[in-house]
Amino acid sequence: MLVATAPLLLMSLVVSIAFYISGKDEVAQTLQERGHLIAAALSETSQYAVVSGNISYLERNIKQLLKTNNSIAAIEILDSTRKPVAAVGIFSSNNAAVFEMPIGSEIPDVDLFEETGSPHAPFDLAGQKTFRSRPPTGFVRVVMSEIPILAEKQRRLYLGAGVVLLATIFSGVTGLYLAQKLRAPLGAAMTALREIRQGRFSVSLNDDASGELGELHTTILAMAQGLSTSRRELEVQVAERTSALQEAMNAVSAADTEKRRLIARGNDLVEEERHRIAVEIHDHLNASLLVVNMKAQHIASITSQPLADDDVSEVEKTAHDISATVQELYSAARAIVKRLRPEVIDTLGLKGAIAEMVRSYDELHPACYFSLEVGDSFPELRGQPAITAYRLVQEALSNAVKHASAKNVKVFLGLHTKLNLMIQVSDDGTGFDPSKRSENSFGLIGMRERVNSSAGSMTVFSKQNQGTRVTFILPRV
Amino acid sequence: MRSSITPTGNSLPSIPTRRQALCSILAASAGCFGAPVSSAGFEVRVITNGDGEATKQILQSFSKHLPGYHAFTDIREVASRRGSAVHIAVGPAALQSALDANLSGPLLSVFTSSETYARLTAGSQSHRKPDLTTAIFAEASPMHQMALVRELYGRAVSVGVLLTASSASIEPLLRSSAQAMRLQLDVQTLESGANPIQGFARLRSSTVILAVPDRDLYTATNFRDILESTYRRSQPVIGFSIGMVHAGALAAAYSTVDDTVAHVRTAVADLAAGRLLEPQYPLYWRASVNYSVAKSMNVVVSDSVRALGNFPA
Repeated sequence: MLVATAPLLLMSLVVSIAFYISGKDEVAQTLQERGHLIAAALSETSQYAVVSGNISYLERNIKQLLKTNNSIAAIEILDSTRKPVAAVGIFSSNNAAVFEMPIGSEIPDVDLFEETGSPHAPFDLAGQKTFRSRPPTGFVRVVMSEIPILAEKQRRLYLGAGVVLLATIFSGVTGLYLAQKLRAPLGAAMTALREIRQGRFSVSLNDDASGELGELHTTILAMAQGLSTSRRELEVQVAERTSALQEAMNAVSAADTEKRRLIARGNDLVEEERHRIAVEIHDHLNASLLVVNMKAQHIASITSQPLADDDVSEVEKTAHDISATVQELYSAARAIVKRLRPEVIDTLGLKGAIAEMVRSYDELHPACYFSLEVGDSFPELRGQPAITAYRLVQEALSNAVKHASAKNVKVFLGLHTKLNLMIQVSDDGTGFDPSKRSENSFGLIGMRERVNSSAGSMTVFSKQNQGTRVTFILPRV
Repeated sequence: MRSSITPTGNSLPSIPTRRQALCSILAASAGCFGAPVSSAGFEVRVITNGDGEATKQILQSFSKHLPGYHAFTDIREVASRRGSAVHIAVGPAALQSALDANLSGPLLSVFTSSETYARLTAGSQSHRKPDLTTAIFAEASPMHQMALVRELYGRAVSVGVLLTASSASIEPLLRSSAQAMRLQLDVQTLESGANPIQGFARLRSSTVILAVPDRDLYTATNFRDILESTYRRSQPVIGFSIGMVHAGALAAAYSTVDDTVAHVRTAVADLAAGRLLEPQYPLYWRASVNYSVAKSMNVVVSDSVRALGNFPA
């Protein structure tokens, strides 16, 4: 612990040496400054005495000056011929320095009309100097002795060194006492900090420490408490984030399952549709074509022989039958095509096709009232965007009929923005909870996939016994 | 050669009347003051001794107020010039050379002090008719200086004046001026070779010291000593130039270059008309005050002091 006082001892030693060295330089500097200052002051104040010859008052002032400043050994006033007019003090001093200054060598530069050359100028003269030099009216000689200054400096040096020594001793003792006093609380603080560094935040410190040490203990305890709280909060946050991540992964997994089910359902529907078309072709087209074929063969057999009147009638009737059968075939084929692609869109446009669809639903389902509202700015659409919109409305109406038990179903066609359509299908049926997905809710899944594939969006609002509102936002192009 | 000085400070009120009469005479032949002076049948020849700063300022003012003049630095050139002319000598050196050259026609000395003018004319060996040489002095008249003292103090104070043999001739004018301004006057004469600083000690009872041009008394070398010694006795000095005010005098009555040249203009017209003029102090003058000195000497300077003077129209 004593090592801690080494800088203090070193500093006091350096300060004492610095005092000594600077003191020696200061003596010479002080001697120079004082000598110049006194000589300059006397050269200014002695002028009147030298010029007027009133020396007595000057001698009194010089004696007074010598009394008050013992570093002045002697002062001598000389006239312009260097003849002494006043002298006070002892001129044979050892270690003396002599300072001499001229008296009154600066005079105002003024035209007093004594010249016989240039014009006498009572007016302001441009470029005239304020002062100019002249031969001095006398000289001041100041003899300085460094002995009194040295003595004074020596006294100050001893005093300063004594003060430094006392201050050093006092500082050392105080430092040792304070170091001893600080050691135990600092050790406790260090122990607590090590515990915290190792993750053990339940630290304890004596709260009897005061001042800055007490503040340090309080800060360490607060820091431990804060770190403990932060760790708990972080753990909670990690658990929450882990749970959220798990849910997200489950959702992704569910979405994949949904997609797989949707694809399987789509495949089933395609197979069903193919089967239905095959049945229709087999039941309707093939049977009708066989009938047409047989009737044509019948006409051929009749017409292979000379025709009687009855034969002609028979041929005519058979031809009519063939025509009727072909008409049925045409209707059947048209129905198939219509199911595959709603050609009503091509002829009536989206607005007209949906109006026709709504009217058809209203006719087929008398227990429910279907209505359509079309906004003024809703455009005439054809092509793929129209087919997408048509299928979505068709699926929504189908869902309303199948699941909602609604009394009223309303279709609204409007513009969401200049570039996007807004189509809304709402009913006052039983509604459902959109967050609970049924395994067989292929209608909603299909609609969502269709909307996604056309870069649109779909919103479903529904509550139990409060009906359902499905809103589609679709690009116009 | 005439060396006396006429106290024109007292006779100044007669000048405007004379100028009006002269103007009416000259107006018939020369268009009075508005036209170049030389067009009236005579030439104005300005003689200088060089191109110092003071000379430059003076010639600039001549150019402004006395168009048509001819400036010369070589006196031989002036002497060889023919025709009637009024000669103006600017400064003591030009006056000396003009006197030595025996120029014909009137000679007007300007920007030369009364003391120097008196000395130069008295010492001249010129054969000129004395009446043809006249002057407008560089310094303001004692009357104007006394008027300034009266205005500064506002009461009858004692004015101390130290003279030497060179300036002793001015004493009657000083006395009449002090009397006119109701001031007490203490005139002391310094013997030749005596210490001027000790001479001023003889004026210790005076309230204020009035300085007059005197090269045996006031020099640039001793002026600081004079001011120090008088200020030790709390005696302000009234000077005769603005330079003295800048150096530490309390105040001065003085003429600017334009003031003097305005006076020269009327004098030239008189001389050209054949009228003889007495040497005189400047007609136009003004006052300058060193407010620092006034404050130190406890002299309260009123607004009337600042407005004091006679200014050209």
